Amino acid sequence: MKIIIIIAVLLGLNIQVNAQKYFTRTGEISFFSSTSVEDIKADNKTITAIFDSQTGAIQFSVTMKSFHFEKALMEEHFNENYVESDQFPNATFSGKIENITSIDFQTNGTYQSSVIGKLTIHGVTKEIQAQATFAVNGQKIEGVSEIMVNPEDYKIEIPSIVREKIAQELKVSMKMNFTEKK
Amino acid sequence: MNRIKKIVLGALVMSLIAGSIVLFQYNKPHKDYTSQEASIQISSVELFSDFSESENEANKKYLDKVMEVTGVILEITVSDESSMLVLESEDDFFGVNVYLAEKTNLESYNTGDQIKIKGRCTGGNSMGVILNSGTIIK
Repeated sequence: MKIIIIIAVLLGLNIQVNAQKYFTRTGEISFFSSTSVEDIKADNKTITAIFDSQTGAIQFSVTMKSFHFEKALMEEHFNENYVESDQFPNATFSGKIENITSIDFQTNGTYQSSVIGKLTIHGVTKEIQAQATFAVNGQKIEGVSEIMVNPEDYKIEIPSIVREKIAQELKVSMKMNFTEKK
Repeated sequence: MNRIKKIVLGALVMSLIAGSIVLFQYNKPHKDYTSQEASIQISSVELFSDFSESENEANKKYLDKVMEVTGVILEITVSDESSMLVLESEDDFFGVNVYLAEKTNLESYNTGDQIKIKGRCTGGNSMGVILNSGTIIK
């Protein structure tokens, strides 16, 4: 009898876990570099991200060639010389929303949280930690975060001739409008 | 004197040309992928399965290519500023994500419909294949 109850509970849990995923396919990531010589901005609105509201597991997938720059020449340099997107077309993040249980997905409101995980850019993986805000509004959840990325950490070499045009650290902003995965 | 004038004039013309080239390069327009001919014809199921089997092999074949993709619509998303479609794959949730070049009214399309689109592949993995600068063929 006990075993049957345990199995029933486990089955029930399993169904719930499957039903508690949130995703987006139009997540936005933009980065900004500001120096006295030049401001550079690029954005990508084709991010796929998915998280599990029970376990906090979160994943992003970003195609580097989808970053759009105002100047075509900058876009070309970014792809060919810096992130080498022919060789490393994807950037990925795989991690965990640490305090997932403190976010009440049934109650509208804004929740602060901390996300840790592995960020892979240009074939180099680094452990990162970031503060994130999740705004619950009915069925929709807006996740927002900002991190500073140092290109050298990811072996992205910036030639000295243009070094002064690009900031030492880039501000990377993320905005994801998640909806429940049915 | 005449010779010096010629040299100065020549140098001026040369620097003007060089300057224009630099300025043109700096301000050169973005590539218009919507006007490019598709070099590959493929189904969304095959395209996605190629990426989930081997990202490397798939990138060699499809990365940066403008292609025509035929598939069944799994999802339609129209936001304030953009329109996108997901075409079916063997996976029940992930597929080929087509981001249309222009915001398009997709009211006449339904999930389950067969569609043919053209777009530029910027990569993919088991979480989806990305096609940008999308246009609907039929």
